[in-house]
Amino acid sequence: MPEFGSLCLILSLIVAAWSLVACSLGALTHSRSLIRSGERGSLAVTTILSITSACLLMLFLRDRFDVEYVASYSSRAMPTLFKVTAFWGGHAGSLLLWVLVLSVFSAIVILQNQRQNRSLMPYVVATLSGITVFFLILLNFTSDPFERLGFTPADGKGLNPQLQTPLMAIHPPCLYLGYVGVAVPYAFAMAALMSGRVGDVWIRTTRRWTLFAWLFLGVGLLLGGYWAYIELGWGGYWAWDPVENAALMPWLTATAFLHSVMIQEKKRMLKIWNMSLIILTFCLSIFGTFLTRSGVISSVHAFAKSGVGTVLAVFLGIILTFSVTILTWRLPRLQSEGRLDSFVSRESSFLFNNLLLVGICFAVFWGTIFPVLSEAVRGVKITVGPPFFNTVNFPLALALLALTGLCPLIAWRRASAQHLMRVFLYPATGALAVFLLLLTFGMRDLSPLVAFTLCAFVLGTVIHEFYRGSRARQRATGESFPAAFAKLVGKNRRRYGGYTVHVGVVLILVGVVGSSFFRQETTFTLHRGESARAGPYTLRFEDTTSSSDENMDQFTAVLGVSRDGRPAAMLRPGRNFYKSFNQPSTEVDIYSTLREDLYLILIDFDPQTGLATFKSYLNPLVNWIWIGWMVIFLGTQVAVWPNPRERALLARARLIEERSIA
Amino acid sequence: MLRRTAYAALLLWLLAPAAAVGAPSGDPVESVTARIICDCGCSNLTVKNCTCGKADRVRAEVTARLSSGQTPEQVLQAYVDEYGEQILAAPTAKGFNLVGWIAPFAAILLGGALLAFVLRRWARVPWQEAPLVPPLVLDGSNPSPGPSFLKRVQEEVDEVER
Repeated sequence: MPEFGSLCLILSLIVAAWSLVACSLGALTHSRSLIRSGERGSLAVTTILSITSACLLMLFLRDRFDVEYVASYSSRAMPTLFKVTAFWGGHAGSLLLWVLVLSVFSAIVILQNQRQNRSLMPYVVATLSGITVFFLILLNFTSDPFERLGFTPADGKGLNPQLQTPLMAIHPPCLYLGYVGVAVPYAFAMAALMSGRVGDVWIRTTRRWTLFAWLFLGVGLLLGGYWAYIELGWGGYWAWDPVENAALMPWLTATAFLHSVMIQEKKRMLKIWNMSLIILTFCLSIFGTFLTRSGVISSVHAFAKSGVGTVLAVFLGIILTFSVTILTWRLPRLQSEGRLDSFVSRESSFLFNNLLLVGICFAVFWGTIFPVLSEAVRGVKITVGPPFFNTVNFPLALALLALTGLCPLIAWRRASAQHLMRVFLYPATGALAVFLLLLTFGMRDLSPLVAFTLCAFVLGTVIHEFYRGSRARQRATGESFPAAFAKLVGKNRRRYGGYTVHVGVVLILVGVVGSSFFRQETTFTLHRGESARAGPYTLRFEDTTSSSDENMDQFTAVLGVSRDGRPAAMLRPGRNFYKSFNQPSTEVDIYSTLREDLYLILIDFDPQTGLATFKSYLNPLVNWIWIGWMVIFLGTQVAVWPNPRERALLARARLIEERSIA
Repeated sequence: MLRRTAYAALLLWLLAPAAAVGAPSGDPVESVTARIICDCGCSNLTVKNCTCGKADRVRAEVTARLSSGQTPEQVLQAYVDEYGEQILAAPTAKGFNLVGWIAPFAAILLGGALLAFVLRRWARVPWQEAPLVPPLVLDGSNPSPGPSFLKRVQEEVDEVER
């Protein structure tokens, strides 16, 4: 079976290369049969890679430890679910998943566009095949997951215990859906440039792909953060680790892109900027893949393997050179067709939003690579850790938040001062009320005060916006308020979906600010039957339990939690000892409410004295981060839902493009 | 006047976040441990946040040093002398490291200035291309627009204002 897997990998490389060649030649010679052949080749690659992946999966399920990759990431005692997820637990398998997702996306794109976008498609398929070929070269020549050991060990090493959770089972695939999803709008952008059809067809065609990729990058970030929170036991969810940064960066530029394309759609401006943003986003997604695997920057997540880094760096160089070259070549066609009506307009506020998003992305990038830079310049190793990123990004994020509040208030084209004052009034009053309320409740720290006030303002503007729209509709149509509200959202899904996403972002910031500025930490050592206090909670150490199976030994402490004398929960923090890893891992337990989380860790237990040491964190408002993500998810669904009006606009864009080409 | 006030309010609003640059924590042990990275290799955390055994030892050490009369700065310096600059969780604001701190803000300010310049030009430059529709002459020679035309105009206005 491993031989069959290796063979499939080689075959897929050959077919993908054919697809690249056929589509490129087909585009140049306008040969329909070549283009069709290239497309079919691409579909074949999807099939072959699905078989290859099934093959690797079978090797895991059958405990084939003669295969190096299986022996490194699986063991007999591991539950079946984690044998499946061990597929992407290491470098080679995750690379295979990457390219499998890419080929499935290519297939979907081909099937979606059998009768439309025909003049773009050869370039799209060629671009996607080019990327596939590259990753297949990596798989075939540097990181074959089917490589044999030459002997069969009795058991495998097993998956890192901290990765043995259902969350980690879906975190990497989500991130890959995001990373790879970016390749689709990138491929369409390249196709637009190469074919000279640089209107807004490529943007409208890929709008939902972009949203999809953006959403899954975000979900990947969320799951990673949530995993860190419940698994790593330090009470936080984000540590500015290089690999976290690597996933954040394309998400930031994709966010900027989602905003700036609106200006191109409405005013036919910013064509160069949008092209640059999507190129940047795709490069950052490759850069993220590179960071994880190159070992250039050390990180917890990294599975560095020699050789791969260099090849990825070369690939990144090729993509960048190629993209910038054809962008430069097409510059004359990318001139703006519209102009701004006023300096203070929603268009310009979108551009400042872009500036801040790209600026934050740059700050993150800069902080991530600065250690390498410093070593090169001064020869001194330095660390750029969380304090740097927090200090630099916090004011920038707040400025972005302020802009998020302002954007919807400023009208398209031209904002009059009177109009601005009128719409500014209610949200600003609300924000001021929140500010005064927080002051009266004794909040004196300026940073959270400003942050919460801005959050209130943004929330106010969004609510006001929903209210104004519904009222206007109600007045015009005589519908009831709820009906007017529903129709308003239904008819402008993109706009109100977007506002809903803003609400989600505000909730996340509320959670982040609450849990960063008001966290309380307590450490206490107890005998059985003794109690300790953590904030408003009393924790009573009741008992311990232990169990053992072939995978691990579990030890758990049981604590009764009460708040103001009333029992609230039983918490069971523990320590697991994974046998094949010979290492203990902390098992956190959390009592979670909307107001705060009581986060409890068992630090140590001495069986002789019966003394247990615990650490607790009170994390205010942290739940709002996860709720915020759910709201973002909801808002994106609203925005992404098929809309006849969007379809009509796409058809119109196609018509205009055909005319301008003719 | 109203216009000026509105713009001033706008500017003030956008600058407000600058006031929110974090102040250091009051507890001296925390202020030191929040500035040293834990090199246990398990994650990218400061000693203050890390939960590994090594971080516990460093915290105890810092507490001991502080209670023996050393200032937080001296404690930090002692760690730098022992482990090199990389023990600090963030670069010092000195020498070449200043580039690290300033570059992101400088880039954004520069980008902002550039953007403001470009936007002003875009908003000011009169539109030079030939208009797509011949100008309307109000001398009675134009046929009055029909309802379907008006509907289309309304749709297009809606589209722009959406």
